[in-house]
Order: sequence, then structure tokens, then C-alpha cells
Amino acid sequence: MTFISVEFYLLLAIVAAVYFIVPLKFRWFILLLGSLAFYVFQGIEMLPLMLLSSFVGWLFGLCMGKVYERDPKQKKKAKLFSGIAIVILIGMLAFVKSSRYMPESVASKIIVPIGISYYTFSIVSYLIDVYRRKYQAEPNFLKFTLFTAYFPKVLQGPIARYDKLMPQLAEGHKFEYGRFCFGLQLMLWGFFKKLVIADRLSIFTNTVFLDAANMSGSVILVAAIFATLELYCDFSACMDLASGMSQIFGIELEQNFDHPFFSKSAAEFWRRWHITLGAWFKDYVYMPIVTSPRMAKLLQMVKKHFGTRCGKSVMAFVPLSVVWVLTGVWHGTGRAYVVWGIYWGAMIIISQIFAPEIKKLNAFLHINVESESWKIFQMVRTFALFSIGRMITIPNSLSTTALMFRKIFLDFRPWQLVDESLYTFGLDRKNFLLALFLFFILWSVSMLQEKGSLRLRISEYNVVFRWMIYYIAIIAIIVLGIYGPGYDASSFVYIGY
Amino acid sequence: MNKKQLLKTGAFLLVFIAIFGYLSGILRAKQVATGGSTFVLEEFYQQEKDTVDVCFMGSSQVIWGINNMKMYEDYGISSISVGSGDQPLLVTYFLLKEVDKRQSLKNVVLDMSMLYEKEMESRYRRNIDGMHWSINKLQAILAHVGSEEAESIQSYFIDWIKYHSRWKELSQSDFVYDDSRSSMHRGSIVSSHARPVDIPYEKFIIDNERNKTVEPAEGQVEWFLKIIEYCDDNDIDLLLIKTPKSNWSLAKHNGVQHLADEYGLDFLDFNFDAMLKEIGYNYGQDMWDQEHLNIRGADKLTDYLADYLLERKEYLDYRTVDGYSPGDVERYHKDYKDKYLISSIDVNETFSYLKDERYDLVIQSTEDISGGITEEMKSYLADMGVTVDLSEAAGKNYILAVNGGQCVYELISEEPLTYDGTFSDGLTYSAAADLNKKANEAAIVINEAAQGFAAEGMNIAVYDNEKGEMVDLLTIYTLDGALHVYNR
Repeated sequence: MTFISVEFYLLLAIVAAVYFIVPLKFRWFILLLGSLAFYVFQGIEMLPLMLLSSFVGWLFGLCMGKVYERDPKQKKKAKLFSGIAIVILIGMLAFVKSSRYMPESVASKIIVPIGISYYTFSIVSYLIDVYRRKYQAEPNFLKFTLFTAYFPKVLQGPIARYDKLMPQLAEGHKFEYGRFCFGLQLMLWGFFKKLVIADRLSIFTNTVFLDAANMSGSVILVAAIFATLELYCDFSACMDLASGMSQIFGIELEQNFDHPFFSKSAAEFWRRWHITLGAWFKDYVYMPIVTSPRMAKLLQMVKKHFGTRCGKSVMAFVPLSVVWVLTGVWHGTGRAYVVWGIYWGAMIIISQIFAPEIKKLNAFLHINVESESWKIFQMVRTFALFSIGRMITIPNSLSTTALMFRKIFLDFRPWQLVDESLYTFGLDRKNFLLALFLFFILWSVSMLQEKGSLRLRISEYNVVFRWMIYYIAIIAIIVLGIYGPGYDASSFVYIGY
Repeated sequence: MNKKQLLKTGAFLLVFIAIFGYLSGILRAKQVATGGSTFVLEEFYQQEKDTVDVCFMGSSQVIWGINNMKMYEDYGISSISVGSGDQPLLVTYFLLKEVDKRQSLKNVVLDMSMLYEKEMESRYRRNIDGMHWSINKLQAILAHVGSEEAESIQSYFIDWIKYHSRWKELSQSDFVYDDSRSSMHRGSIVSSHARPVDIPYEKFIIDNERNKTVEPAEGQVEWFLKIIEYCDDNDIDLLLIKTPKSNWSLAKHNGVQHLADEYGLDFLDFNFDAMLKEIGYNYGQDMWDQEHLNIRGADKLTDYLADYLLERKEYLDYRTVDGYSPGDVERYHKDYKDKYLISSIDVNETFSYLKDERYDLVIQSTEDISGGITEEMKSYLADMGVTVDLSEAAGKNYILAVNGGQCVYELISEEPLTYDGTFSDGLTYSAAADLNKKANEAAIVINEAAQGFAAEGMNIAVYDNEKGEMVDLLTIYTLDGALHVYNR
């Protein structure tokens, strides 16, 4: 059962109907039941593991709460509790993620719960926040389980923060027609991105990458570009669906994408892409390292012996290296993902450390950094950097990645871009040209969204024009979507995390 | 939600359902090629209630192998064929119920090919999708979707789940139903593939080691028995047949015969020598491929079956019913004539068909056949106003142009000839005649498209000036001192 299955929407409809019928104070319980039902439909064998994680988080959070109740200064004991819980949770996560390296006889018995990466990080953030006394521990295990397993976000995030999400979950919300419509409209856009764009592009990218050794560099390049947009559309679509259905319940999930391809630098990109993951690493890895006494000592020593500039470089290098290696590992357990993490880390570190030099170079080259053309160049550059990153992770094999780059530089065959060869890799001419047109639609909508809420603007148009937009979107999804007998549109790219 | 919001939501949904229903109809695949099940089903649904006594059911065998218009015109029996290519017996069963719901059938004649055929999803979709929504369609879907090869139940109820990707191949037929050129009449085709195929008698019933043990397909028997039960419960006579089909086998025959004996049914297997001779099957002329009769074969089978049915039961003679219309009779007769012309292998018969106001002819020479010109041919040409005596045209080139059954140009010469002409509807062509050239070098060019001939002789292009399309390209050629007809 995924966000693209009919059964899911039947469940959603039932949950929503019951939610808005029962009294306000019981509505959180309906969400819990719906979330558990959703999890059971994924596979009942996954449920105990998820509940175990939830129990560990709740129990140790409660223990910390009790410790602070008795003596608010008992940080050591609280640290111990949070440490044990985090080790258990991260240990479970690491164990299931490393199952692919185990013998088949062992690996086949390991259950990988849906969304384990997401809910584990949510629970860890909760434990650390309780330890930091940011808020009080949740006394109600069922409510805590709702926070863990809330079904719109359990599959692919966003990585929820307890203090932002739990109050909304616990508070029953009244039905609001406008919010209901807005939620549906956001879901409509999500369906469009997923079924019409992402799944269409995946036909091409799968065909090319499955046989990369026999492809020309030009085709691989096109596939890399498509793969980048495919990932964005796939992942952000899931976020839109999750946010849209949450809006129906009156719950606002945190934004996870903010038009990342308008970014002008790697650092900005990662403030716009998978925002909650970046924020999590910043709050729970980067900042603790930066503010740790050990880091302060190291900084002092480096400044003393090598100067302030060096000190700043170390300040950037150490925490960012840790963050990006961990980010890579979070995305996948192969070497390719570690390299990918290092790739991004290196770019961000270099751009930070050498920021003054880069500024001088721009001035030397008389580059007008405020001009529109420069900004466009920066966006294209950022897109290219992300596409290169995709080429590292898609094949999940560094040797295949190397092969693809070799092909691009040594076996490009540019004529294949114009001799209609591109229509022979799963997408016929009409579908390929449609894909290009869809990029334009995506870009246009993104541009409009950058200026403010598009849904709000559309809601101000007259009813005929408004409905026309909605009907066109629905019909476009019905007619142009990739689904149905022969298509498997339910394999979201990020679902393996 | 307040009242206004409820109304708005309701209105939005209603408009959406209307758009969605229209879209579904457009996106659904239409089987509108020759023999298309869309035409078969639509023709069935268009029949007036309680005006059909006999239904031929089964696979494409009953679409190509029976001539229901002949059944009406010559015998007064109102019959239709309801079937499609490789139609599983499950579908036949529910279609039978659908037909009987509207028609109060006296007889069902069931072709037994499908008893031995594997089930494939596309075979179910072809006709289930085309059925109008009814309890029978619902039951057919529910009966089928439990099986392994079935697609999702949602895709049956919501067409566009399966067919939405057809957006890039939509054509006029998806938007407008037009059966004016379908060659389908009461569910049977006046075959546009009416070319004789040589199938010797002995090839029909195969009796070799490989074909000795053939079991009926499991899923098919179950539905065959349901068909028997339904006919029994509703007082419908069920007759089993097997139309001539060159890959039928003795083992298959025996399997059907065994079931027929068990349930007290008659089984007419037209694959045996005796039966083929009984119907007057013409070796080399009555099939259009290895498995299907053409219009000539269908006529013969229809004659036999009509006699058979009339010997056993009385039927209302619909020719005597005031106001009853069997269909587009005029279109049928035109189709019929065209296909008999196309399938003719007799020179005199061919010429007897050529004189028709509807036909424009271009006749040219690429080989001397003057020695074989018959008196009958001369008579037919004379009826068309042709004054040139082609039996005296030895060693000469000629071009004759006939519009609307009347000669408009004729020239005979020892020199090579060319002629630029116009058909009755204004379409231009050019023709060339040269005994020294090969057939495809002296082609007729119509609207800049060369219409080549495949043999040397007297080449005749037949153009339908009402439909504005070519009907036939044939060559009269000499072989072993006699004239023969070759249709391209």
C-alpha cells in the first residue's frame, strides 16, 4: 500500500470520515488507529519493530523526565538514558541497513520496517530535545506512537520534530472546507509530479542505466539530467501528498523542499532540498560538534599554531565532514553513498574555506555577481553538480559511475541527441517530447510558487477559471500518468530509507 | 461543511463525472479493424428487441464463417453473430445472457474452437470492455478477475486505468462511431480478405502423433457447461459446430463429440471430407487464411446451416414482417459484390461483376491475351460500350477507360500508349500500356500513388466512384492456353 494505491485512499477516506465525526478529544486516537492500520497493510511483521522503537523512545524519554523531575541538575543520568536509547535505535537502524552485506540466509530473515530511517531520526531528535529540556517528555505511549507512526509522513518523511508535530496531532481539529480543498489541491500537484513526470522519466532512466555500458555519453548525460528531475519530482511529490493529506486533518507538516533547483550554491541547495534532514544534522550533529569543548580546544590549538584562517577552516572542515559522511551513509550503505557524501561535503567545505578567494576571482574576472545571467549560471551549475552526484548513487557501483563519466568524456556521440536515438530508450517520440514540455510546466509552476502561494492565488480567480485549472490537472494525471496494468508506479525512490 | 460548500462540491463532482465518463469512452480501445468486436457488439445492441431468433456465438469463426444477411434474404431467418477473435467461453456465456435478455433466442449455434484455446487477458478485454454496462457485464468482470492472468478489477470498472496511455494514438474512430465502411452486417463480415487460399481437404483434420492427445483447456470447459445449462434452462436449442479450420484435429473433434454425446447435443464438424463436400467447399477458393472462411465459403456454410435449422424448427419469416429492417441492405449488397469480385478466379464471372455504375475501370495491356478472350467477355465489354474487339488485338497495346459502367475512352495501337484520365468523382489517374514492359513498369498512377500489378496480361483497376477508393486490381493472364484471374 503506497500513496499511489487505491487501497490507501480508501483508508484515508475512512480515517478522515471517522476523524471528523468523533469528538475532538478522541481524534488523535483515530489518527493512531489509521497509522497502525497503514503500517499493518505494509506488512504486519514490520509492526513489532516500529512499536519497539517507539517504546524505547517513549520509555527512555519518560525516564529522563522522571530524572529531571527529581533533580533538574541530574544531566549525567539523563545523558545516560538518552545515550542508551540512541544507541539502541541507531543500532537497530544500522543493523537493518547493513543487512545487504550479510549472507543471504541471514539477510532474508531480516525485516526492514518501512520508514525506519525517518522515524528513528524523529525519535532520536525527541530524546535529545528532552535531554536538553527543550520540552517535557510525553507521558502517553499511544500518543508517542502516533508521533512515530503518523502515516502521511512515515513513508518518506519529513523528519518530524516532536514539539512541532505532536501538539497538532494531539489537538483535534475541526473540519474546514477551505483547508480541505487546499489539501486536495496540493495532493493533485503531488500526483502530477509523481505519475506524470517522475514515473515517465524513470522509464528512460531505467532503460539507460540498466545498460550503461552500451550507451553513448550523450544518452547517459540526458539520463543523468532526467534522473535528477525524476528524483526531485518523485520525492517532492511524496512530500506534497503527505502535506496535502495532513492539511485535510488540519495538520501542517514541515516543508521539505523549497524549489532546490533555484539554488545558486551547494550550501543553498541543501537548505532547500530535504530540508528536515539537513536541519536534523545541523541541530544534532553539526552544532553539538561545533559547540563541544573538544572542538573549542582543537580550535584554540590550531589558531595558536597556524593562525585564525586555519582555525576557521578546521571549524568548517571537521563538523561538515562528519555531517556529510553521515548524510551519505543515511542515504545508503554502499561505498558509493559514502563517496557521494564526501563529494557534497568537499564542495561545501571548499566553498566555505575559499569563499574570500572565490570572491577575489570573481572580481578579477569582472563577473557581475548581481546580474541575472550570473544567477542563471549559478542555478545551472548547482543543477549540474547535483546531477553529477546522482551519477554516483544511481548505479550504486563506483566502477559503473566511472564508466559513465568515461563515456561522457570519451564516447559522447553527439549525433545521438538529434538523430532520434533518444526515442528508443523506453520513451517514444511523443512521450519524450511530452517530458520536455513537462519540464517547462514544472519550471513555470515553481517560478510562480517562488512568488507566493499559488493555491491562494488560484483561489482568488473566478470559479470557471479555477475549476478549469483543476479539471485540466486531473485530466492530465488521468490521461498522461504512468500507471495501470503494466506500470508499477508505486515504487517511490526514497522508500527504501 | 455548510450547504453552499456542499452544493459546490456536488457540482464539481458532477461535472467531473461527466468529463470523466466522456473521457473513458474516448480512451477505451475500439476494435474497429476488420472483424472488430466494437462493430459486432454495437450491431447487436442496435437490433430491435425480440427480432432475432438465432445467435451464432464463439470466436472469429462465426464472424467470418457465417453470412447472416444471406440467412435473412434467402431464408427469412433473423440471425446475428456475436463473437470476437479468440473469445473465451466465459465471455461467450455472459454475452449469451446479454443477447437472450434482449432477444428471446430460439437457437444458439456455438463454434467450438475455443474449447482448446489458452486464455489470454486481451481476449477477455476485447469484448467485456465493449459490453454496455449491465448485470451481465458486472458478472463477467467478477467471474474473470479472480483468475491469474486477469488485470485488476479497478481497470475493468474504470477503463482509463488500462487505456489512458492511448492518448498518443487517438484517432477519429475514438471520437465518432462510424460503421459505414465496416463490412460488418449483423455481426458477420463480408470479408475484405476474400482471397482464395489453397487448403487441401486432408489438411483440415490432422491426425498425427503430436495431435493425438489434446485436452480441452480447463477454464473453457467450465463455461461451456454453463452455456449448456443456460440454454437448457431457457429452452434454447444449442447446436455445436466447427467451421472449416485447417489446424483442427481428430483428437479435438473427438473431445467435442464426447461432450456433445454426453449432453445430447448435435455437433456438426465441417472439417471432414464428407461435410466439406456436402457444403460444396471449393478447394482453393473458399478460405481467406488457414482458419477462416471467406464470403464464398461463408455463403455455403450458411446455406447448409439454414437448411439444417429449418428442417428442425419453424422460424418466423422476417421477410414478411412489415417494417422490419435487417440492416443497411444497400451497403451489404455493394460489399458483397465487391468481395465476390475480389475472390473470383473465373474470368467470365469476373467480367459479369465488372459492369456496374458504381465501378470505374481502367483496363490496360502488358501481355497479349487476345487468343483467350471469350465470347462472354466480349459480350460484357460490349454492354459497357466498348467497341474494340480485343480478340483481334494480338500484338497490340490497348487502354480502355470505363466510368459508371460506360466506356469513356478506348484506344488500341501497335505503339505504346499512355492516357491521362479522370474517374467519375474527378480523381485523376494516368495509365500506360506497353507489351514490352513488365506489369509493374506500366502501372496505373492514381493521385500520384502507383498501383502496381503483379502479373502480365490484361490489367484491370476497379475503382468505386461512390466510396472514392480502389476496389480491386486484377490481372487476366494466360496459363496453359486458358485465361485465369489473379487478384492482387
